[in-house]
Amino acid sequence: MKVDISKLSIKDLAHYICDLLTKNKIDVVLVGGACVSIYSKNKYMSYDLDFVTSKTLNEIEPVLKTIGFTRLGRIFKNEKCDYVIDFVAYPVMIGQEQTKEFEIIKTKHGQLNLLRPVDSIKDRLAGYFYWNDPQSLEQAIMIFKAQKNKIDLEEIETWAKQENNIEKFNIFVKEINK
Amino acid sequence: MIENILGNQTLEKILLSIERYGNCYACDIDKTFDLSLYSVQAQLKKMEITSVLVSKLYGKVRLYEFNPRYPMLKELRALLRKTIEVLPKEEIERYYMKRTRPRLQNKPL
Repeated sequence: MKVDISKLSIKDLAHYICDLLTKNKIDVVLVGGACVSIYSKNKYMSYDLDFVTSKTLNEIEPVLKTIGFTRLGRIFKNEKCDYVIDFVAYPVMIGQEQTKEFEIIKTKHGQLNLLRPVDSIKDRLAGYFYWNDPQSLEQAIMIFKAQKNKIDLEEIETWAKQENNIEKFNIFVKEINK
Repeated sequence: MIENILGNQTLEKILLSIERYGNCYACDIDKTFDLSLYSVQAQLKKMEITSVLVSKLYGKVRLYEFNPRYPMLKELRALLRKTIEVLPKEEIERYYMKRTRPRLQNKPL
């Protein structure tokens, strides 16, 4: 089936790319802002698809070329597509903690491996902890509000303690309870 | 909002920015709020002399942040946090929601 990439949503494109790479024996996990878009139901809109893989860019390049993406350094772009694809350093790290447990979502566009909602919150909070980034805090709140039932706050608290940032975690808790 | 307590608006904006982002430099404050660079620099210097802020050179830029040894720091930051909480939403979005996390050079926005 021929897919028109220009018409895919960020979620469908992520599925499509993940599926294509997996079929070519390149396992990837979606991280970063695209996970926020998916979990916040596009309340936050990212234009980056950040994937983590243990494979090299030279192995990825010919696969993405088949669907019109060209490489510019670490980034892959397709002029018909609003989104850029980036491959960030392996392994998947949430702050100082490595995670090996992922969410798997299946649709007609294929299977997508991505951060669990709770890890996506931690990933955003890491941006807030390290760089005082208010946008990251806002995105963490968006995910929490949209995925409340799937989030274990105690897990986040334990992680925040390990990251020596319990004070900023408490600000997050205050914000989600507003 | 607390400019009457602090004495002027420039200082209010400087301190709120540092509370929000962790640090600031004169040019950024001047551009963000459309203030005079001279008045921003003067306020920063005053705050450094009175030990509220400390500064360090980062390349050619002088970065200012709160002085962790300032005795009233906890109370001052509580006041600033409260002020940010009650600022109008438009003001927050315009001035206090800047991206501060890193981004790969040349990666399109």
